Amino acid sequence: MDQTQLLKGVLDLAVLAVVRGEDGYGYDIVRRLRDGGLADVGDASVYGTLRRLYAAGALTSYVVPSESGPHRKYYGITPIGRDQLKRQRDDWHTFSTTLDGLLDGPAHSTTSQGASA
Amino acid sequence: MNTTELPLRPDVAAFVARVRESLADLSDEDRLELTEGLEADLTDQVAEHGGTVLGDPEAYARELRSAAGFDPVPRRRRLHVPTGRSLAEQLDIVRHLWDDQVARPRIAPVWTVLVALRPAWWLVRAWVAAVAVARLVPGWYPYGFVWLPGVHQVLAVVILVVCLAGSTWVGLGRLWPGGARGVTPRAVLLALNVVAIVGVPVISGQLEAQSWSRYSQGYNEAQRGSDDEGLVSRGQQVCNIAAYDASGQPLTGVQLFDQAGRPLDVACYGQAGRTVPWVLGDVNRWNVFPLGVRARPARTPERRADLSGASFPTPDRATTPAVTNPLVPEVVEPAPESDAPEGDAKKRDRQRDSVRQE
Repeated sequence: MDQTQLLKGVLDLAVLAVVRGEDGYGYDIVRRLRDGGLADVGDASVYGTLRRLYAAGALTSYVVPSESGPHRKYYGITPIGRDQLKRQRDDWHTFSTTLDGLLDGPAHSTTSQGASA
Repeated sequence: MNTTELPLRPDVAAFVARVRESLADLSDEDRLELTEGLEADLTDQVAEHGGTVLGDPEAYARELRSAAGFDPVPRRRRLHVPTGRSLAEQLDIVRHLWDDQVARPRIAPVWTVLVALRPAWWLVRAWVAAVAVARLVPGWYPYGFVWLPGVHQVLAVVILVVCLAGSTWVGLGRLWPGGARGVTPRAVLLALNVVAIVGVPVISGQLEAQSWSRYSQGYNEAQRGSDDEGLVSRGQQVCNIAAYDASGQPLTGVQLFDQAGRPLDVACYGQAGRTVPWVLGDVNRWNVFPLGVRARPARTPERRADLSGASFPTPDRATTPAVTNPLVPEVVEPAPESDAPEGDAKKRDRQRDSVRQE
């Protein structure tokens, strides 16, 4: 399955996870996600998500002026963001456990699925 | 974390500018929020992977928007006024939508000019109001100033000045409903302005129709006038005729008819009060010359009956040069009767004249 489709629901969670330990600017965060295995993540999607999390109060942001190049905008997690991260992590674990249970369920359902496909 | 300072590349700057254009429908704050730091992030990306990572700015903007929770494509904002709110709230909503629209980067310069031209609008709506008031004045008629039809000019100017002052005061917020914050004055002001906007084309259309009808009316009157303006000589009405015989003697009681035998009546303005027609039985004849002239115009039948002081006009010249006509055979006559020197030609003319008068 296309990773980007799966990512849509959990990109918030992934972004919060990678800024949890250290503040970062936009492309820095993209790089952390890609290095973490989400190789196909679109940078514009990450920047938009950062903006939405900021608007929701989950992230704080500050601009670091640069003498030679364009300014960098850094994002850091807020207490609201940590709450959201914890809650969504729990949701994800529950969800993935449920899905794992479905995938590893009784053999007849998977064989019949395979036969029909 | 990569903190290397990289200068902004022109391709990145152009790309971000295109992205910002695709976000033009968002508020300034949202647009800034979405694109602040974007140059730095893309500069890093291009430094790592080359300029090909930039791709299509519109598609990039769509992804950015949708991830940030906005509509993926710029949607034309409809004038959506929620129901169930007070009129004041609805007016506020419409006002905010309007302000957002005119604050857009491409509209704002035009809007600035329009705002500067606001006094011109005050003038226009004052004109509409003045015309509306002028129509209420008793005795309104479809003539008058083009810019203020229908009433006496002095009154028209007064009405226009009053309306202009009122419109300006309202515009400056010093006169109700201008400047007031309540719902009623805002609604009234809005309604008045809408009426004025609608009024401009309506009134100018009426003016156009009116000027056409005025033109055709004038044309018809001119036609009618030329039909019954009596005898015309060199574009001017003939009021009286002084007749002389061939020898230059003034004649009295000369009846004139045209080629069809119709009386050559003269009829000029005011003539009936001033001139005295000849009378045939009980019929006034206006084709017998010269007509008698009163010293003063007689407007009433009584004064017309009084002929004291009336006389035949004294011609400017008592004599005219002798004239001849080859059609009339020369007749030898006895000694001349007038004081004027006469030759054979004059005798011949007099003969002809007497033939004609018979």
